[in-house]
Amino acid sequence: MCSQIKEMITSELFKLLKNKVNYIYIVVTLVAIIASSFGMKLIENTDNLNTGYSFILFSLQTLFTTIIPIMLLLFAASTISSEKNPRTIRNILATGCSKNQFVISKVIASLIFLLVIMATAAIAAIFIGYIAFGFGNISEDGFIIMTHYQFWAKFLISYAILTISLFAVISFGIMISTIAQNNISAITTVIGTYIVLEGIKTKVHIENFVFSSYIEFPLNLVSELTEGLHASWTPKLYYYLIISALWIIISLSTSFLVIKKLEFK
Amino acid sequence: MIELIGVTKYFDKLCAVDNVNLCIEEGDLFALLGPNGAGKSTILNMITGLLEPTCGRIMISRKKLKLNKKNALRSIGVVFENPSFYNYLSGKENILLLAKLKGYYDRKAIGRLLDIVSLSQRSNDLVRKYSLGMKQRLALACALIADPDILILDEPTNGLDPEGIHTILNLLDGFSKQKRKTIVISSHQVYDVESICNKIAIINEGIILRDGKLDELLQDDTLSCLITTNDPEKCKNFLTEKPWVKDFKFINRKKSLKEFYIETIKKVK
Repeated sequence: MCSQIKEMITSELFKLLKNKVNYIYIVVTLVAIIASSFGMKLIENTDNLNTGYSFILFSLQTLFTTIIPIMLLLFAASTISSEKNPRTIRNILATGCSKNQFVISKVIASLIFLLVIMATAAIAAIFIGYIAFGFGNISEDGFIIMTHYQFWAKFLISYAILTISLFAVISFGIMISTIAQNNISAITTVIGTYIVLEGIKTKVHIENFVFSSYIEFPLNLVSELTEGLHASWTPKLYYYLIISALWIIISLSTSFLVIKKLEFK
Repeated sequence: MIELIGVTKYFDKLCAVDNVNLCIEEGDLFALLGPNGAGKSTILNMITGLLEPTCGRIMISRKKLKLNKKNALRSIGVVFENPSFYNYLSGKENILLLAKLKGYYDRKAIGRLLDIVSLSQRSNDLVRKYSLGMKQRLALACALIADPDILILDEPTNGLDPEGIHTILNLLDGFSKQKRKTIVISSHQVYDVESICNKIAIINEGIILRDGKLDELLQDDTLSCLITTNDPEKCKNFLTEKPWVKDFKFINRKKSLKEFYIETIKKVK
């Protein structure tokens, strides 16, 4: 069981590496980070807080609240639906792998893909931040707000927390991918649903229950701390964790139920 | 080796397979014949574990498939109708991927499989560049991973040119005769399988109409009467009316499987 899951994950990673489409996501991430450095130069006051640190937070916040959720949804929506039509899933199941193992391997491969995208974004942002703006102490009027170590510790924690809400995004995409008949309908449905949710969430007051509402929270909080504001992780962190976990549990449970009922005529 | 006992499959209210009983023994080259939509693929998909029967049971090597699915599937190689592969991978990468999932890591043996299906020279090409015939051969190579005892092939000659059909059928004939593999083929191309199979079942609208050894089935209804006479019409009337006449003899003229198949289907309609 374990060795087969291991083989399935390895084969999923092999497919990820070999499919050139996936490299587009990495290129887009890099381009977006570079573009945000120009954006920051234009909008930020160069005399105040315009350090490498604020660039890292600004560029990553911009990226993770705009392009990356859409990229993750596109990726996740293709994971299972692209195996249903042209029916490569039959080959996998005929080797003796179970449908649950198939979904688990897709979820783990997607999580690894998410970590790669997050690492790419972070490394690019840190590199450009250092080259373009430099890393000094975070201070205002000679008063040190945050030391290097304090910043990196808080940044790492916020980045780790961010992974959870982005994993909720991926889980939602995988659920749609399991339900949809083919790749195109999965992508259309997932993007359509996301746009509709984003459009109506504040109007119908459901923003507290939508997974995307919390994506900006961790990096935003660190950003506020670097500006010397009194910001606190709690209680919003609890809502963040509960809502993200609920989305993950509901999405993945639905995926397992749907794939179990799925018949290949 | 493969037994289907009272197997029925419903898709919602549609009965795709109705109370099918079949017994395919070790070393048989069994053909499941029937028109499109007869239920052939549904039966094969149930044997390969992709579909669950609504009722009835399937036994592989005397063990219930449902309870022993993983091990049973390890002993089965499958070629699906219109085989699909990852277009962004080469033929070799596709077969290696499936081999690893089956727990089979012998790269040399995989090279030999590609040799058997005459794909070694194109094994590093992306599958998107393959013709349908090459994909069918690659699918056969994938089915042969880990040297399974049973091969299940759903319409393996579909869309192939005569040369491609000849190649695939020759390979199957060889596996059956030399390696004693149990092979189950579904087809509506009756002529294609006649030359190689020893057992058949004819299915229509989910019901098995006839099944058994090919030789016996073809002999069963095909005894012809050879009469030496100057007046065939008179003789015919005479024979019809007088069953006690001894002056005629049977010759062992075999019908073609195609004639037999069409007759059987017509009888039901």
